[in-house]
Amino acid sequence: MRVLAFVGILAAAAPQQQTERFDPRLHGLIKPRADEWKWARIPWMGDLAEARKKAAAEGKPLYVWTMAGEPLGQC
Amino acid sequence: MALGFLNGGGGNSANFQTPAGENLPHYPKEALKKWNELPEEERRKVKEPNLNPPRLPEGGLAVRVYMRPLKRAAGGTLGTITDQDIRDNPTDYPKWVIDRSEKRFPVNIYAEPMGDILWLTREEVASLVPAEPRAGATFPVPDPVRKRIVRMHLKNGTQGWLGYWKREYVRSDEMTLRVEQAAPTVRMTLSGAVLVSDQADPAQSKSGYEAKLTGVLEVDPAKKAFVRFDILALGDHWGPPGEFTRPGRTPLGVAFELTRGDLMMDQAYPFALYFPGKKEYFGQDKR
Repeated sequence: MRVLAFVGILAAAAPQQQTERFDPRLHGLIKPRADEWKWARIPWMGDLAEARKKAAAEGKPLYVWTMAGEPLGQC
Repeated sequence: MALGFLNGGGGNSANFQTPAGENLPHYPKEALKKWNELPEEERRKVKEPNLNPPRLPEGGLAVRVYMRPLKRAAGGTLGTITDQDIRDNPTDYPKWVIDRSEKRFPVNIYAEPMGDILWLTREEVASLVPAEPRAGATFPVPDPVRKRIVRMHLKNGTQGWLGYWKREYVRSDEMTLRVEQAAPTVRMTLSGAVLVSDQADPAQSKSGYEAKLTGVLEVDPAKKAFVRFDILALGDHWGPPGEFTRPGRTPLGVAFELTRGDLMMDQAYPFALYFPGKKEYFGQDKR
């Protein structure tokens, strides 16, 4: 009887153990790998006013990437 | 060459400009030729851009958002989509090979994650931290934060346009925080489930996302700031019908983490502030 009672407790506890837990490996899977997001390696400036001042001071033109969201191919 | 980035406006374009904002020819050689022909005073002339980009509300929190389409291997294991998957399975990844030479557009252009930013106001950040944290205590993620995460950020933006879910498409959204540790930092786990569907009957739906959420959030009372904000949504996404849309229900992951200031995207604002706009993003709309 004692053995049966112990099994019963285990069975009752099982659903709690099935609760989804945060998995850092899966979280990391979604993020860009080292070989992805090559555009992000460029030290873009986010402030156009500052970028224009810097370009003028250095005597260089700007390469301006404008978009509605994050850069990804053809949008 | 100085580099500028502007997150705003419509579409996606890149071009060479003078510091006064005058466009130069599209291709680098021609642009540099034109630039070198300009008089010195033209090259030094600066014009202030007429921009007013959204700013993170004072005391607010910026969180990175990544979306990635996944594949389900035998046994249900989730994995990233490889170039070979795309080349070998044009039915599963329709028209994903945009450029057969793979020189102008890499084959993985739709398989890489898409980035976005989640903004929370000071009040919303405070609403995620119990006044007197006690280990074991649970509380729901407040409605404004929950709705924003679901409607504006649990999207498949990997094909270039994020969009948002209409309020009525959110069929269920549960998110609960549980205090695991009350001191020295307040560590909470998040669990939840969402169903978004453009039809009340998901079987008839042309577009939707059904996912489970897990996460770990940590607040440092000494810093009065979140030091961890990791959330993961994993589930099946479908639609909307389109030439690049994967057929059926396919796995999509959305991951959140704190901005660290070391990526360009940390300076960006949430896409949804551009579309559908500030009112909907901050839940001020009455729809």
